[in-house]
Amino acid sequence: MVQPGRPDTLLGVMGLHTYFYTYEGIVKAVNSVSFGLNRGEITGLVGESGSGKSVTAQSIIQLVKAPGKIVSGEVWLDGEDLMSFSRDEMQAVRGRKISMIFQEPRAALNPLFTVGDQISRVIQLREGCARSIAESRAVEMMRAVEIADPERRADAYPHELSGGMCQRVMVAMALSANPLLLIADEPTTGLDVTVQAQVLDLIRSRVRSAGSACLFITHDLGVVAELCERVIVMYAGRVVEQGPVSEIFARPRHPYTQGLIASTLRVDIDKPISTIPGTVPDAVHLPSGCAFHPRCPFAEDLCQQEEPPMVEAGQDHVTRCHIVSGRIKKDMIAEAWELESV
Amino acid sequence: MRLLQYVAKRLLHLIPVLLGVSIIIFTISHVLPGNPVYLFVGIDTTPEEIEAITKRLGLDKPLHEQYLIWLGNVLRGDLGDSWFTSESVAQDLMRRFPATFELTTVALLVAIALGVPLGVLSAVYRNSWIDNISRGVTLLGVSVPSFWLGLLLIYVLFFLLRIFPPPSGRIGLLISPPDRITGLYLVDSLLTGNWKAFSSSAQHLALPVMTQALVTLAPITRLMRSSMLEVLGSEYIQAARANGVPDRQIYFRDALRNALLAPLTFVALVYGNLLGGSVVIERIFAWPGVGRYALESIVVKDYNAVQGFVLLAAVLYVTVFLIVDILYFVIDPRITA
Repeated sequence: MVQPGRPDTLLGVMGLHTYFYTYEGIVKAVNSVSFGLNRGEITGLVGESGSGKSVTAQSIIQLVKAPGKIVSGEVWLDGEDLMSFSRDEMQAVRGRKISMIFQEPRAALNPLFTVGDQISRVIQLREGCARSIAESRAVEMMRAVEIADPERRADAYPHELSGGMCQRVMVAMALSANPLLLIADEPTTGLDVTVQAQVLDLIRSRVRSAGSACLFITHDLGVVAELCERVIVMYAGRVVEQGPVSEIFARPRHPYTQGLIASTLRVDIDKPISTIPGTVPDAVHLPSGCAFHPRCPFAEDLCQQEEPPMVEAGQDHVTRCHIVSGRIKKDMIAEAWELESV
Repeated sequence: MRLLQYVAKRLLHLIPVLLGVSIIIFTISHVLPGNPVYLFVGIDTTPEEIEAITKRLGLDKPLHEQYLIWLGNVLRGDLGDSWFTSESVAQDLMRRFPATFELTTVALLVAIALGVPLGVLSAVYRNSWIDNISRGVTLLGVSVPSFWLGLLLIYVLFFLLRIFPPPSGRIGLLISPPDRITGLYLVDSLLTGNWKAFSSSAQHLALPVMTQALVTLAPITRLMRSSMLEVLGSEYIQAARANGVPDRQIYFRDALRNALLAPLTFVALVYGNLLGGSVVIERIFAWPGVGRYALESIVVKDYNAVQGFVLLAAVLYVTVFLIVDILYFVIDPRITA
């Protein structure tokens, strides 16, 4: 739950709505999303493609691409209301208080400038220091993210470096700001497993030591279990469940979260992998009631008629489900997922 | 070093290209119907005399032999004589080319100077009034034929308003051209301090340049706009914004350089084309350039002149592309030799 009064809450998002006005109709990419991020914690934001994870992140830094628009909502960072900020003020927040790491490191670097040039420019912009100082700081940052031979690598163009190396460069750029909030949008998706582990380690150690918060967007629940303290699950633009990782992985209450966990490949127990039946709904014509009901093995008439409100589901743990709220009297049996998949 | 290697390699590539062009143009100009011998004859010329002329011109030999003779001469720098002007083709071209070069280059510079900023602004302020104005101008530029636009400009700006001089060539009839240094009137008159010639040739350039520039500006603006939009939507621009880079720097440092890559090829294509002379504009403005020369030579089947002209056009074309490739090589680090 969002508790802006809590001293360790760094970012509070309340009632965020971001819509895309397309020719086909309005896409409610982010629909009444609320959550809080605590200092020194990494929060995982999970969901399938198109669930609104990335748009939520873009809304926080107010870089939603047209035809998207933030319709309403509040975003509080360290006691300041970002939605009341002007364009210039917001620009000063980006790259200083909030930094972002992107999914495709090579695409996120400008192909026509050397990586050293790109890091040092961000430093120079922020600190207003001399070029030469920014350049040596850039090399320092590259060394800090364990890039070997940083003096030479600083003169390389993005296409001359591996994907993992480019992601380190992005991490170096993002962390050079010592941001209060680090947003990582699937930063390890395109990387080798070993490189992935190194990048995750890097993010974790920097976030912990700096006491900042991190919003880690991913669709990989394994990464969430490994890295995060808290997790937010999104489906079709809405938060359907959120809480501490230990709690949610042990006792997922929303059928969608259960499905996600059941469909994760596990090596430690011998069980068939199940899948969630059906596909992500059409963003323009969302199903009525609970958007997940067409795919939900427990759905009843009420789920189709009425959208479930957010309810308590445990210690610091909330979800949107009529069964959890007790409106529908029914047991959710874990075997439902295995039965579906056969 | 890397650059030198690249240029050397590219120059080597030109040899087969130009050889191929020479074969094609020689074959086409000789195979097309019509007989250049009639340039030299009157009504009462006898068949024997015609045969003698054919022999004198070497036109009785097999085609491949004629080609080799011509190629040998070209390699020695001799493009042959024009049968129409009775002068050396090389000299004819040298005298006319500066006129075409001056008009084309000034027009292209104007088109770039207006088209690039206009394209950038219409992308940055997409669907604003400036985008709408640029859309209107470019629509006009692509849909209005240059001969009509040229005539309209002459009618309004010369005939009605008397702002510009009549379309009588490169300089006023009563003003003597500047001493020849480069053959470019603007440059020569500046170098010799001949202000009268400078002002007159600048005024004479104005209307043909406007005509040519508007037609060229339209596609440059549209290309620049779409290229800029694509770049602005890219991930690295989003990343730069997320890192707090101000808009002005985003547009002019991060985006512009990337966005220029696509229109550059188009500009080269247009320039290479136009350097071969714009027949329509040179005709309307009585501009003594190579385009008109080529047209006149083709009509009378003046083989040497036509071949010389096409060869010149081909050399210019590949030169422009060589320069553009070098530019790409310098701008874009992803291109390797």
